[in-house]
Amino acid sequence: MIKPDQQDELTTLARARAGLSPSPADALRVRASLAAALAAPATFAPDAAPSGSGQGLGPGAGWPLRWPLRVLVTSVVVAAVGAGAGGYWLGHRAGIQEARFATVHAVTNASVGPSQPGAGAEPGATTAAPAPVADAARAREAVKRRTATARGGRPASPAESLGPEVRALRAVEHALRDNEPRLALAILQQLDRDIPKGKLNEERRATTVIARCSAGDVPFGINLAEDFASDYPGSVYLERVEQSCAPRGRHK
Amino acid sequence: MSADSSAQSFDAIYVQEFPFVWRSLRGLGVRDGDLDDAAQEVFVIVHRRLSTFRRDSTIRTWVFGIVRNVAFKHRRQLARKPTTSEAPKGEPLQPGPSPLERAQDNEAAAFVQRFLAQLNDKKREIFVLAVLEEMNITEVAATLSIPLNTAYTRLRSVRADFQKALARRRGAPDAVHDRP
Repeated sequence: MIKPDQQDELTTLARARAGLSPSPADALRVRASLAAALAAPATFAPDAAPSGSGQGLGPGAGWPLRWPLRVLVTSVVVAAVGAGAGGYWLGHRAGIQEARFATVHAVTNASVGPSQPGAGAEPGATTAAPAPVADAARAREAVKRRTATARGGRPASPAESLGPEVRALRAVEHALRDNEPRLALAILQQLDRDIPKGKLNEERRATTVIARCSAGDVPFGINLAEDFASDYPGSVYLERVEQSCAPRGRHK
Repeated sequence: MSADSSAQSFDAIYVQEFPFVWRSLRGLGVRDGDLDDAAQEVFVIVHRRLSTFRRDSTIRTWVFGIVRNVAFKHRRQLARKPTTSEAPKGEPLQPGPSPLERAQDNEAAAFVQRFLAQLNDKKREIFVLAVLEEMNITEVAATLSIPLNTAYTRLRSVRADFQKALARRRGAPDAVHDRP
């Protein structure tokens, strides 16, 4: 017969195992970034092999060549479950209309209020400007760090962009997880400037919408989720986007 | 080993060992924000060194050796640049099917992580492998390259610590920060 103390220990351990275990999204996300890293070994090698493995790509030279296709498939799922990504088109538009957004942001903050307590917690319109400026600097830093080794000073070709894109999107995901949607937006804008013609446009767009809705950065009369749905009607991110942009009262 | 069979075995290793790697990294003190990078680093090394794996131990034992080194490196980096403390977070972007269950799992995981954070490396490794991963003690001893009796002794000691921590938690739910 199991004593209550033992039962408590067993239950705690079983729950801890479940709590410590990765979600399927974690597995897919790491796999996608792993694939990108292995497909572009030159960008990853410096910190990947701490003790002189010196074996180039490893067991099979043909093996990594199959990864780009997998990257495309898995990266789609990656952003769907939360890693997210942003739309190039909307991000670009956001860049062009940056000044306008500042005004709109002030208005929406005053009326809608911040949706994420730790992130968009500016009390009013007058304090709204400094956060994006600071975020932009942090984002530039983050994206430059992640893309510098890949590009080596040259503009990234589409083939080269996937690894840095995935890594930058991972930074975006971290920012969203940390309830810092404005930092996520700044990283996405910097990504758009550094790699304007990337491959993960749908992911960028979806993440941009999620981040803007999370930040409460939604202009009046515009439903970002509907915009996204009309551009990507069959997107796997649609549910996620709609959930993020739903009015707070209807949020589960 | 042909390239194709290597690729297949790497895929199989990834699928089979990813949860173990992830839990072990968390158990060995890698911060949640660094888990992606650490897990990726582990599997890059696995990929690079797979052809040199002699199969005189289990794949899990071999992988844990890599996990250990990567976790040590990350902890050392963390010690050099202290950041704000990071409680294990839920994943707000993933709608969970059962929020209550998930909350309870996360609470238990956080409790175990706090407990592990108070242990020294030797006890922590024993706890992760023998208690959390329920690995056979003989295999644990082989993985850690320690005598079997030493493994038993450490296991007894760390289990006693854990039970004390559990007792404190039952007595005072917020008192899990106490030293074991």
